[in-house]
Amino acid sequence: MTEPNSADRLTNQPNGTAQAQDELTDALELDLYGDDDEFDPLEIDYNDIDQEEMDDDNPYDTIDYPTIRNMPEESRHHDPVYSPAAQGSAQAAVQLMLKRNPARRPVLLSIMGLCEEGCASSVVTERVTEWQKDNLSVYSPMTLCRMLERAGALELEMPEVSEEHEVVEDGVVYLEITDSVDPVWRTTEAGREVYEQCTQGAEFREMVLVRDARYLEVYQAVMERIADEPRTKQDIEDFVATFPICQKPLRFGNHFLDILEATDAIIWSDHAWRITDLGRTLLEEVRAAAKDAPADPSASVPSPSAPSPAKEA
Amino acid sequence: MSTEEIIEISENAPEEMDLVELMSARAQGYGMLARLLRVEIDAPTLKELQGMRFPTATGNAKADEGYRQMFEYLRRAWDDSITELAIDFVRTFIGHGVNGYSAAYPFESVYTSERRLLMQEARAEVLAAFRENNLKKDRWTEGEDHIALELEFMQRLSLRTAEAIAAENDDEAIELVRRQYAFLQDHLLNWVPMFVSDMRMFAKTVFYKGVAQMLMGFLEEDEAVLTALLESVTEDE
Repeated sequence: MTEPNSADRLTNQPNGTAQAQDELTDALELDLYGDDDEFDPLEIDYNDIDQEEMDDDNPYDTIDYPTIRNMPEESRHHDPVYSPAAQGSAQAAVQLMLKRNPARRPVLLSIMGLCEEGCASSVVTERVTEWQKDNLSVYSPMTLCRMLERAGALELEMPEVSEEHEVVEDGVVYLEITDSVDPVWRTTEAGREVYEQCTQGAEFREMVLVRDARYLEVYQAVMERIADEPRTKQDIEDFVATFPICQKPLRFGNHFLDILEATDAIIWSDHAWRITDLGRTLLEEVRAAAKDAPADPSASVPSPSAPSPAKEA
Repeated sequence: MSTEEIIEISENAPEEMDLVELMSARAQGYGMLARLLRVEIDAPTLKELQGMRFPTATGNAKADEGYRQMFEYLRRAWDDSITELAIDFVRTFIGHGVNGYSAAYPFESVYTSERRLLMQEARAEVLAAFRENNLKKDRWTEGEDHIALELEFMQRLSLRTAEAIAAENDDEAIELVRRQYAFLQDHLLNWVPMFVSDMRMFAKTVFYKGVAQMLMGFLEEDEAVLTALLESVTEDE
C-alpha cells in the first residue's frame, strides 16, 4: 500500500513521563455520566418519542434535527439544479448553467467542443487541467463533465469491461485487473446546438450590440486596448474612467470586463485579460456598429478630470 | 510480500512458516486497512489498489466476499471513481444528523458508550495502550480510538514482533504477540463487528462494502493466527 510502514499517526516516544501518567489517570477517573447505568440504547423507539415531554437539553431529543432515519424518503434525493426536466429542455438547462457559472463558462464550452467527436475521459482530464491553470476551480474535470451530463450536454459511453483475468501462484488463484477503463464523453445534439450558438457570438451581439448599445464606443475602445496587448483589470478600470459616458450613471471597467468575458470575447490568462479569436472577429462588428450608431448626448459631456479617448487618440 | 497473503499464510501458521514473513505480512495488511479507513481514496492509492491481486479462496468467506467486491468495483473504476468514493466515504463515516445513528462512526467510543459519544472510556484505554507501548500520536488530531489508529497500533506491534524474531529475541516477541492478542480481543473485536455492520448499511459503493467485509475477515483470521501462536508457545513451555 501507499504507506506500508508509515504508521505516521503514531510515533515512538521515550519512556512514559510522569506528566503523561497523570493525564492518563485523570482521563480514567472521568465519570461524567455515572448516573445512567440503566440506559439501554436499543430501547429507544424513534417512532414513539413524545416531543411535549422533551427538555431543551434532553440528549435523546432527536426529533428537531434532520437525520437519515427520520427523513422522509422523498427528501433524501435531490434533482439536479440544471436538467432538461428542471428547465424544460437540455438547451435551456445548459444555457442557464453557463449563465450562472460565468467563471466556468469558457471551460464548460471548451469541453463541449472537445467532445463533439467523442473524447476519452483521460484526455478530457488532461486538457481541462491545462485550461484551468489560470482559473482554478474546486470542481474536478470529471465533476464538470458530470454537470454537463446532468444538463443534457454530454453523454458518457462506458466501454465493455474485459474478461476476468486469473493467475495462479503457489496453488493460490488470484484475480488481476489487466485493463484500465477510460470511458468516452460525447457531446449531445443539444450540447452541439448550444456550443454553436455560444461560439458564434450570438450572445455578444445581443448583449453588446443591442442591450448595451449606448456604450458601444467604450466596448470598442476596451476591446481594441486588450487586442493591442494583454491588460490588467486596473488598467481597464483606469481607462474606462476616462469616458464621460461612464460618469453618470457611473460605470466601472469591471462591468465591461464582465460582459466581454461572459460572451467569450476576452479571457483571463497569465495574470491579464486577453482577447479571444472570437473577440477579434466581433471587434470588427463593434467598429461597424459604432460608426453607424447615433451619437449619445451624454457622451458629449466633457469630463472634468480626464481627456476623452478620442482626444487621446 | 503483498498484503493479501496474510490470509493465505494463516493457513500454515505457525509451525511451517517464516514468522518474520508472517509478521511483516500482518503489518502490511493492517497498514492497508488503516489507510483505506483513515481518509478518502486519492488517485495514487486508486492506481495502487488496481495493481493488487485479489485471492479468490482464502478460507475465510468474509474476506473472499470482500476481495470480490473490491475487485468488481476497481476493475470498472476510472477518474470519476475518486469523487464517487469520496462521496461514499463521507456518507459512510461522517453522514449527517446529530443523533449518533446516522453513519458508521469510526470510533470505538461511539460503539461502547451508552450515548454513542466520542472520547469516552475506550479512548482513554486505547491511549493508555499506546503509552504503555511508548507510542504517541503525531499528526493525528482526533480521538485515539479511531479505527485507523487502532489498526496502525497493530501494524506497529507486528513490525516490532518481526524485528524481535529476526533478532532472535524470543521473549520480547512472545510478549508483543500477547499484547496484540489482548488489544485485538479487548478493543478491535469488541466493536468492529458492529462497525462493519453499519458500514455495510451506509455504504452505497461495493468498494466500501467490500472493505467492511475484508476488515472483518482479516481480523477473524488474525485472531486465529495469534491464538495458534500463543498456544504453540504455551505447549513449548
